[in-house]
Amino acid sequence: MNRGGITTIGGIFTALVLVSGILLTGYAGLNGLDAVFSFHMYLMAAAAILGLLALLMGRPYKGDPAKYNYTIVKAFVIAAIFWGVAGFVVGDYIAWELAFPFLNWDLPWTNFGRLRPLHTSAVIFAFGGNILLGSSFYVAQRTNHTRLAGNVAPWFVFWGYNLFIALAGTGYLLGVTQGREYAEPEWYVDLWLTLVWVVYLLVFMGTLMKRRVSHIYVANWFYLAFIITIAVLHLVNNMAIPVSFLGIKSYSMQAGVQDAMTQWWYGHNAVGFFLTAAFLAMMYYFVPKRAQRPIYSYRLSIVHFWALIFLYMWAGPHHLHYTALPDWTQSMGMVFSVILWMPSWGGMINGLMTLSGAWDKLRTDPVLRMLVVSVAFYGMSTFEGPMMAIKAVNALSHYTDWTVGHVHSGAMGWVGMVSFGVIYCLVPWVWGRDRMYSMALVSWHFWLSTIGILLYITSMWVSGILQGLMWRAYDSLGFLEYSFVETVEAMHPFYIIRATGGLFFVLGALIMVYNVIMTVRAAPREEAISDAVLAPAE
Amino acid sequence: MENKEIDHISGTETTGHAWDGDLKELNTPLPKWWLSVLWVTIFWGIGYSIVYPHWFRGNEVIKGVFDWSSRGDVENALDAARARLAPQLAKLEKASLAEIKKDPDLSRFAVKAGEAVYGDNCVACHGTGANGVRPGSGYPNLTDSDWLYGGKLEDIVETIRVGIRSGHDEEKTNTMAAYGDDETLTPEQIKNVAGYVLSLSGETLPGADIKAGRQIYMEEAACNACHGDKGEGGATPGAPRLNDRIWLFGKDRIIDTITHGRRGVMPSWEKRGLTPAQIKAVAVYVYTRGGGQ
Repeated sequence: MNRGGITTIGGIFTALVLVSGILLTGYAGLNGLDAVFSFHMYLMAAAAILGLLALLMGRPYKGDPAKYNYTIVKAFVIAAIFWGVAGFVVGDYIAWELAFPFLNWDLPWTNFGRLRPLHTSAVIFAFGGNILLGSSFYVAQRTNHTRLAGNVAPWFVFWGYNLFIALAGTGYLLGVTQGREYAEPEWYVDLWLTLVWVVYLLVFMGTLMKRRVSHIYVANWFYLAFIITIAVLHLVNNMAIPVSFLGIKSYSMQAGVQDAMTQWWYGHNAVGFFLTAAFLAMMYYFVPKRAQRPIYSYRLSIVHFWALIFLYMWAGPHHLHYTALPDWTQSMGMVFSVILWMPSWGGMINGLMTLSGAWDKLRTDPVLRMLVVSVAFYGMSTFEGPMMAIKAVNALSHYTDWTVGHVHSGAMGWVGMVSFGVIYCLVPWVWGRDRMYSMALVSWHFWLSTIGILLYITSMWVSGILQGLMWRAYDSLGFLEYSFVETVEAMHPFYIIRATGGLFFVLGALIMVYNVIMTVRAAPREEAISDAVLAPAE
Repeated sequence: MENKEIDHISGTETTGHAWDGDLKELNTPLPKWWLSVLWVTIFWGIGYSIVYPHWFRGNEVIKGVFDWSSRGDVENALDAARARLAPQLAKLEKASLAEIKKDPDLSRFAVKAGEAVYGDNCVACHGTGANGVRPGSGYPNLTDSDWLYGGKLEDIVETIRVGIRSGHDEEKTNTMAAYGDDETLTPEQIKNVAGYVLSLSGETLPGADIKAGRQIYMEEAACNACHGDKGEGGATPGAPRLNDRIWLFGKDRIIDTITHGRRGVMPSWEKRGLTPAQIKAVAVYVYTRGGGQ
């Protein structure tokens, strides 16, 4: 179908955007006030030039309009796997750094402070983001019985989003950060992501609007809630004024406790809408598809969706318990966090109960096992979260490793495992293979990850509670029993266990890489899976 | 046009929609336990928000039933802790060092209080066990018998109070000169004097002329003015003893030390805000770690 050249209005518009982008970033790069800013501008200019060349060659127009656009899904899956391994390796490296600080080599680039955001952004936004965007494009096409909207726009989203990740990651290593957790990139990277995200929303909405089924499947609501809310969160939390439009540095428009509250309103809803709602969207499509069972309860899916969307927005203050945040705000954060427990569990119930009548498949299908265990970890973390939001519990857990363990039971157990499950579903489906190259290797990945996660979270439970108890221990005369340094020393063995758990997790991911490569290289199915767009349905 | 059907495994009716071929939904009602717990948490939340500060009247926060505030909580906890310590602290404040030494109860209290002060303020340089971070690091080991500014309890109190090159009015400032940097000695002379210094504790430095070194030690550089004729140290305060095997800046860095000099630093803990009782207590703690004189 390659007709060569730009053939749509969207393509012409994109070309104009790219040309002005090249001029703008080229100018900014030449006149940049600091070297990193110039480097980033040249990087953006180079990406825009490559994009323009690809566009002029007509590359985005290669697909068959009568078929689903699987090429874009493949690109996202590959990117997710690539960034995932990078993010896991960096994460495990800094876990070893915490146990053995000499591993930072006294170099600025390998310092914990720079590698930590590299790890979090790589796993959340690069690994998680690519699998979310990719799976949303797959699910939206399949459940709406229509090809993805746009030819150029989806590719703009893919390359634009991954350029955002490259800018963010290289920035962290070179010391660029605005110091907001999970929102570290500076103003110019934020602006770029805004543009990409709006186009993503348009592609997704466009696909929904040309759907050929009357009802919108529940997974799409979750994806849409994710896309819209992340846009709002991103815009509000990154309101900043650059010192100069030719330099990296900017200052937040808010100050003090308002700034902190905005940041954690963002931070908690990034958990709620990026790491929860969007991954629930994947769960709602891939669990029933894999188990070949209907979703357990349509009504539960509606009620827990709206309850989750409404309640998450108010729970952020629990990140700022026992700080300068006013008491009333802390009370509110705690109350909404606790009420959030059941709405969160609605997703777990729907995921697990969908398997009733298909439990036997867990014995034979390690992919389904991964999906189910991820839902179980989701249930555990969403019980632990409200519990830790209770102020009496938080007084012990706050600032300890318990928080780190909690985050990772959600991140590795829920987000990681469900993503692996989805990758194992998607790779054979979009590449048209019978099945994964080796189910035994999937099983190995499952066990390595599970053991790794358990080592990680149990060591952090013990370490965190120990740490909290040591901080508050008084001796018989009324003096603090331990100095801070002694509590740090006490963490050492747990840091080694945690890093070992991380190593298991990395090994599992490497096995996945091998398995995916071998699957893609294997011969296609004799009777090819049809990727023709399905007929309209009720 | 709905195709509702009964799912044979669960016996529940579907909603009648199908996506992507076989993707369907059951019409199962909300689980009763789930709904009940949701309502319980909602009612609990309303109750909590009445008992604790949450609502507003105009711009005013309504304080809640018990008039509770987290700041009040902290103040109560601090008051309780202070009240618990008050009698003994008052005693410690008034007692002279000699009295503290004599009273075993007060000594024990001072050591514990001192340990807490030490843990919060001193460990970063002197280590958790008070034995320096590592030998030769430049941070004195407080458990051995070398005392730069005196090892009596009174001396330790004074050193902690005013500090070394701390900016305090009474700071201690004796420095080791930089004999190489200011060209008082040639590199060869430095090597010789280093060899001589090592020989005082029975060590050797290959290629060093000890006799020439002694000459420099006693005359050209007059090291003995501070470190003593036999390297016994302490001829002026702060001059380390050289004839033992304890090396503040490391045995292998002696040439470095003579060439560039040394200017160790310790903060004045009076300036840093420790109370006289805290300084007394931490001095007692340090004194009991080992080599107090």
